[in-house]
Amino acid sequence: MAGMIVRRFFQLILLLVGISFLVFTSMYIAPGDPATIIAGPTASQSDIDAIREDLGLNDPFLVQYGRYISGVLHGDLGYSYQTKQPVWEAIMTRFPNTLKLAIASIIVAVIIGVVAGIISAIRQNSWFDVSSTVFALAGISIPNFWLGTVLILIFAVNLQLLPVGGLDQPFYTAEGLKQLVLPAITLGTGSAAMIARMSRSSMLEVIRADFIRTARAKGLRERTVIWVHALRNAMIPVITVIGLNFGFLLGGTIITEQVFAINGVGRLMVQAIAARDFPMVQGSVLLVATLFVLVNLIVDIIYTFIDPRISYD
Amino acid sequence: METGAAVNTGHAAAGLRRKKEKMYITTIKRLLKNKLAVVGLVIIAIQVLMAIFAPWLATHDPIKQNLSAAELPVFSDGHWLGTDNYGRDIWSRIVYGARISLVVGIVSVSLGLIGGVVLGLLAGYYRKLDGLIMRIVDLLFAFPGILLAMLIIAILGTGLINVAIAISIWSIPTCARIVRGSVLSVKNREYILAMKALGASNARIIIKHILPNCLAPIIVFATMRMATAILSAASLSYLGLGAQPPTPEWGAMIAAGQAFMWTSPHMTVVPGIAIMLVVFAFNVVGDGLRDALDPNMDINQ
Repeated sequence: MAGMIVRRFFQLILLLVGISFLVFTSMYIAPGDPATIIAGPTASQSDIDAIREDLGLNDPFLVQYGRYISGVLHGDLGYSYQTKQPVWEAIMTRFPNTLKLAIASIIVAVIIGVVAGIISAIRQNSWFDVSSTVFALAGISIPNFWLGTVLILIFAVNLQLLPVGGLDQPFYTAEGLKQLVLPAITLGTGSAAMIARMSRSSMLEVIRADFIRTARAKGLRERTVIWVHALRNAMIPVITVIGLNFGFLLGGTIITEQVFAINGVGRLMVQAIAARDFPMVQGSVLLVATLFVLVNLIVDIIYTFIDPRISYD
Repeated sequence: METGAAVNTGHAAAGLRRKKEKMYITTIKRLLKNKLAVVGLVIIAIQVLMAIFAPWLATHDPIKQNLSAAELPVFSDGHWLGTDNYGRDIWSRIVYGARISLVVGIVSVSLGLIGGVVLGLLAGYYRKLDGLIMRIVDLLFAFPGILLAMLIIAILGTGLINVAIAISIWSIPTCARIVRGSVLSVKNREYILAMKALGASNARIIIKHILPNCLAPIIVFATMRMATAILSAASLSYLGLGAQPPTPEWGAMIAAGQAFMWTSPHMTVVPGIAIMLVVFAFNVVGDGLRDALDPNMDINQ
C-alpha cells in the first residue's frame, strides 16, 4: 500500500512536469509577441526590445521554461498582461468560489445520482426506473449553460425565490446558500445522471450475487440487505465515477460561472483567452489541471481502501 | 472456422461477404428494435434534412435585421418561432444553426478519429511506440472536460473553425485508448499470426485485418462523440470563443438571448431545445449501437 502511494506520487510529479511543459509550450508557440502586448500600441521598437530583454524573451526556450517552473514553485505565475496584477493573486482571490461551486455540485450529484440509481435497480422496470433512465439521458444531453438560464428564468425571474447570480456571500449564511442552489443544480445535473446510471448497473449486478442471497436467507431485513450489504459493494465503481466527475465539474465550472456571473477561475480563464492574456491562461489552466490530477490520485487511493481486492502493486 | 478458404478461396470470399452483409442487417435490425434509438435516428434525420435544405426550409434570411419586427413572441404571424431583438426570424436561424452544428460535429469528430485511430493502431501494434504514445495520451487526459479545447483555442484564437480543431484534438486521447485496446485484443489471434507467417506486410495486416475488427467500438465512439462535440461547440460559442455574431449558431443564440430573458424568453429557450434534442439523439443512438453491436446481448445466438 505505502509502496503504491509512493510510486503514484512519483508518477504524479512526472505528469505535472508534462502538464506544465505542455501549457508553457502552447503559450510559447501562440501567435503574438508578449513584449509588444505589454508595451502597448504606442510603444517604440526600442521600448519593445527593452521589455523583451527585461522579460528574458530572448533566452532559449528551455531556459525560459526553467525560469517559469522555478517561478511556479515559488508561487510566482507571472503578471497579467491586461491588469498587471500577479496571476497567482488573481487566481487565488477567485479560487474559493470555484471550489465552493464544485463541491456543492458534487454533493447534489452524489445525493441525486446514488439514490435514484439504487431505487431504479431495486425496482427494475418500474415507472420510477423508466422515468429516471429517461431523466438520466436528458441530464447528459442538456447543455448546462441552457439549464442554468432556464432555472434563472423560472426561479429567479418568474418566482423570484432565488438570486439571479453572484456568489459573493459566505456559504454558511442563508443568502450564500441561496446563491449556491441554482448553480449547484445546473452543474450537478449532468454528473448526477452519470452517477445514477453507474449506480443502477452496479447495484443490479451486486443484488444478484450469492452473498446477497445468503444475507436474505439468513433472514436479514430487506432494508439491511440493500443499504448495508449490497450498497457497500455496489459503491466501488460508483466512487470512480464520482472522482472522475469531480474533475469534470472543475472544468464545467467554467461555463456555470459565466451563466451565473460568478467570479471564479473559469470566468477568469474565459476572459483571459478572449483578451489573449497568456500568463493568466497559463496559470489558470495549470491550476485546474493540477487539481484534476490530484483528485484522480486521491480517488485511486480511496479505491484500494474500500476494496482490498484491488491492488496496484 | 473458414476451412473451405484454403480449398476454394473464391467461394469463401463470397460467403464471407454474405456473412458481413448479414451482420450489418442484424445490427440494424437490433438497433431498430430499440425505441429510444429509433427516436434518436428520426431526430438526426431531421437535423440532416434541415442542414441540407436550409435555404428552402428557412422562411427568412437568418442574419437580416428587421427592427420593426423585433422580439415577436412564438406563433407570431409569419414567424412561428418568433423573432430576436434584431427582428431576425428564429426559425430560419435554427435551420441554419442545424447546418453549423452538424458540420462542426462531423469535422471535429472525423479529424479526431483520424488522429485517434492512427495513434491507437500504432500504439497497439508496435510495442516500441506504445509507451511513448500512451504517455502523451495520459498527458492529454490530465485536462478535465472542455479545458483542453480551451487551451487550444487560446493558441489558435477564437472562431468556429478553431473550435472544431480544438474539439477534434480533445477527442484524440479517448479514441486512441479505445483503438489500442481493441488492437491488443486481436493482435495475437491465430489469424493475425497466420497472416504474418504468410509474409503479409505490417501495413496490410493493420489495415486489412486489424482495423476492421476495431470498427464496432470506433462506430460507437464516433456516434457518442458527435453528441459531445456538438454540445462543446455550442458551449464554446456560448462563452464567446466560437461562432461570432451574427452567425446563427445555437450556443451563441442562447448567449445573445440571455440579456432579453425578461422580455423574450423564447430567444434562449428555443435554441436550447434544439441543442438538447440533437445531443440526446446522438447519445441514444450511440447507446443503441453499442447494444446492437455487442454479440453477447443477442439471446438467439
